[in-house]
Amino acid sequence: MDAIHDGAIVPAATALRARAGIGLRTPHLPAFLEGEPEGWPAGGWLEVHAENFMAEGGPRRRALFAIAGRHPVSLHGVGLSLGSAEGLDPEQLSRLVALERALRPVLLSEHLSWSRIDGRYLNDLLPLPYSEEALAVFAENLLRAQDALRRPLLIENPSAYLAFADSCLSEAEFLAELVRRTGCGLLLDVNNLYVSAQNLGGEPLAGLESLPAEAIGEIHLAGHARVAVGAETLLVDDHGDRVAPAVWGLYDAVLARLGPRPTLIEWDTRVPALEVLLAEAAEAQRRLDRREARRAA
Amino acid sequence: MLLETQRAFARALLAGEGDAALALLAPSRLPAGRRLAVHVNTVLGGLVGSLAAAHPAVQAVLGEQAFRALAGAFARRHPPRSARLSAYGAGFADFLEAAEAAAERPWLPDLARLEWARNEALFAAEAAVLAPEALAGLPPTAVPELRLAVHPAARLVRSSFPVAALRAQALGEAPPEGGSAAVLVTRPAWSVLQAPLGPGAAAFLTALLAEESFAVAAAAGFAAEPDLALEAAFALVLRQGAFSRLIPSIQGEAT
Repeated sequence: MDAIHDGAIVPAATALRARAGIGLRTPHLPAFLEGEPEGWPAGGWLEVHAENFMAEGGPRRRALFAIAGRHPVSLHGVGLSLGSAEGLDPEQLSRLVALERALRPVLLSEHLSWSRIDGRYLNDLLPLPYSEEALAVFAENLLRAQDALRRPLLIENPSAYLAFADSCLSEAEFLAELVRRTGCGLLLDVNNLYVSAQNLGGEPLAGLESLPAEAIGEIHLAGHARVAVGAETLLVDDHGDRVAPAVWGLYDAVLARLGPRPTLIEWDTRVPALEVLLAEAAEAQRRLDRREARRAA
Repeated sequence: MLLETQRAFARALLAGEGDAALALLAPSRLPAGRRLAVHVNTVLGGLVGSLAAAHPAVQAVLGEQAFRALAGAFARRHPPRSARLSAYGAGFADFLEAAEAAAERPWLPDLARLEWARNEALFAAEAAVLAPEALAGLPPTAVPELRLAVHPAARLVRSSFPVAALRAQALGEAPPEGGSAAVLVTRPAWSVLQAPLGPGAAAFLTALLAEESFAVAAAAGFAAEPDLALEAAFALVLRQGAFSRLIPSIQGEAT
């Protein structure tokens, strides 16, 4: 599968362009192993977190490969730490390369964040200042990773709870410049746009104009939690709920501007019954179909 | 500069020393400490969750609150070196040795060791399992020199406490049958299996796991337990999936 290193979506992913998918979670593995679960949409696809499948063996890994034989799979990395000032962990990169090679996922993504410092892994997507230095560090790590993987990565915009005093670029400018320097793609997390705007101020879609539309290879939708802090509210991107109505509205606006993109429903904590996830995916599919119908008209 | 920023964050998240990190943040109407707390909670909550998933019996024994406190202390002192959280927690049993909870329950660290062995077995590499039938055609003269390659998921947990029974009790499972000198942990197929062993079987298996010959292992078994039912012990460890293949002898006698 040849990748095109100019920010365009890899060819095999075009089949998923107007399709909705769900995150494959451990409680639902048996349903997928037994065959196709009831209510599974035609053209549906699945996404998994890369780091959950980097053990040498075991039932979880075996289940993934059995399921990947029957459904398109997207590989979403959380631990590569592309924003690390100390550079990439070569072991982590080689594990991701090995998993990609074995799985041949249709979509491959990571995050605009960092996790690793002084040989310790902090299991969170930690924020980067949007500075020239951070841009240079991230771009260098990303080029190295894409070189080893032999395909571009889709980079996901983060959920933000804080901003740095020395940021000189907007998030959208930072991402657009990354695409220019590295040929990477983008994963647009619409819930993260909403959460960040609520937490830091600003309009959720303000930066969308600055992002190269053809580089956006995937969309994420998820739920969030509201935490009261005195008289204020902080939104926390916990992927533990249905997609909020405001986020559905943003999704429609994004589709209107970009056209269809493979859209994933992320639900990682307090994971509900499979039919709830499938209902969320069906809602995304409905909006994708509606957008396509409008274009055709 | 970015390196220093990231170091400051690590100090805030692991050591609770947030001043340097807070100084880097842009002003906002929400207190910066509260914003940073989201990341502190994610990191510590995630690591405690990982440790709980790998040690359900220890958590059941201590109760959720006490477990969270101990696991949190461990996480702050020994954060992961890898993004593979299925591999996080190898040092937790040793950490429990010094904990007050262990002073009242001297068997607690060994219970944690059993659970960690189960976790390692669960995620170990795949390999074929040597079945008892594979040895059926061996000539009796070949048996004393027989050596076996260990299955990647096989672990032997030795303890002076009946850890398999303690685990079953903690998790509300049926008490296991077998000895109480050691527990053989394996994963021949999809699930982790446990086989509690008496002293003779434990000594016999220890030698086999070190790739000693059958004769040497048998001698060790009888030394620890003169009435050891050797054939039954051998059949048991084979059935549990402790070995993956025969190691050919120097003379090339084995199949």
